[in-house]
Amino acid sequence: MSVLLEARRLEKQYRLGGGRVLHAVSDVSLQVHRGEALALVGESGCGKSSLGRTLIGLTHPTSGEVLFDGQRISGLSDRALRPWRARMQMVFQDSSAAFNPRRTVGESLAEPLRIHGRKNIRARVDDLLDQVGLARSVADRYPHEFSGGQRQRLNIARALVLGPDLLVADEPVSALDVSVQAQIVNLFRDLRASLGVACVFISHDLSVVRQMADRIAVMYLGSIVEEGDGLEVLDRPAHPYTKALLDAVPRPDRPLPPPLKGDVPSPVNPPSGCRFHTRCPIAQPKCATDRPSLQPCGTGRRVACHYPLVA
Amino acid sequence: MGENGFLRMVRALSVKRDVIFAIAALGLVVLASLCAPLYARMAGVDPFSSNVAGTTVRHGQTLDLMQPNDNPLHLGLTPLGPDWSASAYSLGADSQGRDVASRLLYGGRSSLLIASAAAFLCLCLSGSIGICAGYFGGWVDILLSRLLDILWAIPVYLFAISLSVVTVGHGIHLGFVTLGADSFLIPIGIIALVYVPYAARPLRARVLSLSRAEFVMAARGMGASDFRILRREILPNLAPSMVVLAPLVMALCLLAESALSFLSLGVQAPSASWGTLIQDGEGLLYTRPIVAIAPGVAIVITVLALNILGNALRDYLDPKGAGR
Repeated sequence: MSVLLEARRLEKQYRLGGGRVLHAVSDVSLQVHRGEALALVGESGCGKSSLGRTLIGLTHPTSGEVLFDGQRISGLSDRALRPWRARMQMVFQDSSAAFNPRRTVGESLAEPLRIHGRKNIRARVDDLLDQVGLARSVADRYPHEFSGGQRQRLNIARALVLGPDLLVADEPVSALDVSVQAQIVNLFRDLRASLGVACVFISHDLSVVRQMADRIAVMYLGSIVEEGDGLEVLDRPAHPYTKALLDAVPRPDRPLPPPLKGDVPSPVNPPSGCRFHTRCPIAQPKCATDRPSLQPCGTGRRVACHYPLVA
Repeated sequence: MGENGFLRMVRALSVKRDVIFAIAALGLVVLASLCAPLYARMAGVDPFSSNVAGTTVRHGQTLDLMQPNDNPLHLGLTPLGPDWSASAYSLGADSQGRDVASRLLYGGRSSLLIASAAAFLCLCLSGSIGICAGYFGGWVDILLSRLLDILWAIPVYLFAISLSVVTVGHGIHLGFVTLGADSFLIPIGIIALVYVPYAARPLRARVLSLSRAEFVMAARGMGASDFRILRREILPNLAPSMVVLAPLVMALCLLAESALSFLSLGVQAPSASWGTLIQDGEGLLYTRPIVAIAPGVAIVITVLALNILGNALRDYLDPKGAGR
């Protein structure tokens, strides 16, 4: 499979004033292949949303570069980026905030087509409503008239209306009821199967990730700590943080293992060495001084740990 | 807001008794002011010329407009008092022998015109500043916000009076633009300017929160230009905040206009406004208080109605209080 999106040594920092700097994303390199579903997993505040937005050019990286289809798109002006926008779209988490409340959803779905000067707008909007399983007549209604699940379908429809090669979905189901979550997860699967669009799912919910992702990248404090094939990572975690995440999922067949001690350190003042060493159950003196890089580990897997759990 | 939204708002507001009273009072004041020339012609009075030697006919009697004082020595003159009839000089005459009722109506024309024009101008300026500062942020925001802070720090009336002292009586000559000393545009501009911080701050805050909304980010992600985002996403959502502010700002402008005119720094003679009428009545406060009270009551009613309307609009359009 060919590489669609590639991030090289991406950094995103926010200046907070008073000389303090928040390191939202630090030294992230990853690839998304055509038609592939990659999940970015991590606790809230670990930089997965910042990474997602940087990947599709909604924010500019502090350093590093993003390549889309082999072309560098980071650092382009808004105007130069516009043709690329049609090929990568974002699905937002809060579907109630993602639509202009003063416009009908039909208008909102038509907007991207108008921006890019497409023809046959009405037909395309109808087509998309069919694909996400909504009646064509809903186009004349306002966003507040829909349920959360319906709005998320519209959200997906809008992201797909330009026929993108890549979707970045930021917590696409976390605001929904569990029963509705399943519907949206299935919708994503069906659409991916029929359209072949590559997806980056940003999520903290491992059970959703298991169903949606081909590959998983686990993030901690702005960096990727483990990356690899979905089932491989979930069933045989190599990084102690991945293991801790999986242990925190309640299961009926075992008592909950003791949680990680302490809180996530502040991204304003990240720890030295391995960023996880302050909470790691198997940390050694070396972890406090040397920062591990992502190293191959087994088949198609990379781990940033001096003492990986699997060889 | 679509047409449906507007109809829904009208329906929701029209069941509130205080709103009905406010709209009725405003309608009455506006209508009466519009009919000022009609009244003047029907009553046969000239509201703008001194008429100290004039007479009027009341109950078949011809009366001097300026009556001798009823002190023992009959020194000095007092203008004719009100008789509350529906004829000429029903509210009596002022110290120049002019019909108070017709001046009240003509004064309303000036006051309402200046207040509404100033409120409109103020909201246009504030909206532009709020959009620039709130949307573009960065140094544009810092510059505009500090500028507003500076304006905000100067007491409104002191600022308005200072500007008026400089401009009124000389007019304004800037390049091609020449405004006469008696032009209404001078008080309109001054009053609009001094209330810009009052309206621009909540509008900036609203634009700031709107421009961080996900639907604005979604539009940017689709490749919409800044201009398109402002026109299609920000402005339609800013409009309710401006609608809420409009009556409240107009009430403030009306008060400021009256204050300036009272100090002879607003509307210039021979034109009348409610402020100049109160000033005319000041000297007659002990003998003919109606000359000052009538325009005062008109101001109170109008401002009260505007505030009730503004609050009702705010409760309906902005229940979470972004514009407070």
